[in-house]
Amino acid sequence: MTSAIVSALVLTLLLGVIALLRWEFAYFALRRTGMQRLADEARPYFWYANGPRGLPLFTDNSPRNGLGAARITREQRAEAFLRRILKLTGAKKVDGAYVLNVGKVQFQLRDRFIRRMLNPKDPESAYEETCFYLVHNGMPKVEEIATALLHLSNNPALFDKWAVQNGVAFKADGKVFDRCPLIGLR
Amino acid sequence: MSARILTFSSQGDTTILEYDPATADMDEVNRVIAEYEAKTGAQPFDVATGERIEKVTRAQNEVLMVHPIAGG
Repeated sequence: MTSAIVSALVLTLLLGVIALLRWEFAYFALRRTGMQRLADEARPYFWYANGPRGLPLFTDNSPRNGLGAARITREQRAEAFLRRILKLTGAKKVDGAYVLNVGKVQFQLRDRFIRRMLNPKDPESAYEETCFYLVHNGMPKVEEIATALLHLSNNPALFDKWAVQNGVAFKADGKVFDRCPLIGLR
Repeated sequence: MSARILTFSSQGDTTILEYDPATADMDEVNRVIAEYEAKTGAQPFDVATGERIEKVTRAQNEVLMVHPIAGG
């Protein structure tokens, strides 16, 4: 009689454990499905926008943004991009400075400083100098240099604006960017 | 073949959007660029020539949004 009661208790316990395990598995599967749905919902808007023929117009599956990006660091990518900009603008790295010739004017760019040489043929010549900074902080230093090279190669007159109007941000076309997030912080 | 609009950011170069230039609605592409410029001040440059462009056309495959610079 006692053994029958013990057997019944063990059987009940076993059934309880099995039921608990099944519930755990079902809950886990439910969570996975829910997480996948959340991940789908978190995709950027551009992922869903369609072009005129139903083809994706905007996607975010570039290898630079995806897993491929993990293989090379942001600094390596930035360096590679700077090399492209150097080639495009004809600038060269000389003694730690990036030298850019625009017509008869020569600029020498270093981290946050730009010199405009008054006589590029004479390395001892006088120069004008200004600091520069990107209004959106945090990009790699070499991308800041690349940005300044593109600005100056297209619009060398920007140098005067940067030098004279301290703390005012200018867009590449020379117009003031009045929504600068750093205005008032410097 | 796809075209890209990218920009420099704290993550290095980052693709803002990618599209098929043969089929994409270029007005829509330029609208997105205009919105981005209004928000950040960045303006489009053709990466093939290094020149600033007013509007992106199907001829451009890679466009870099170049952020404003301040002196100081």
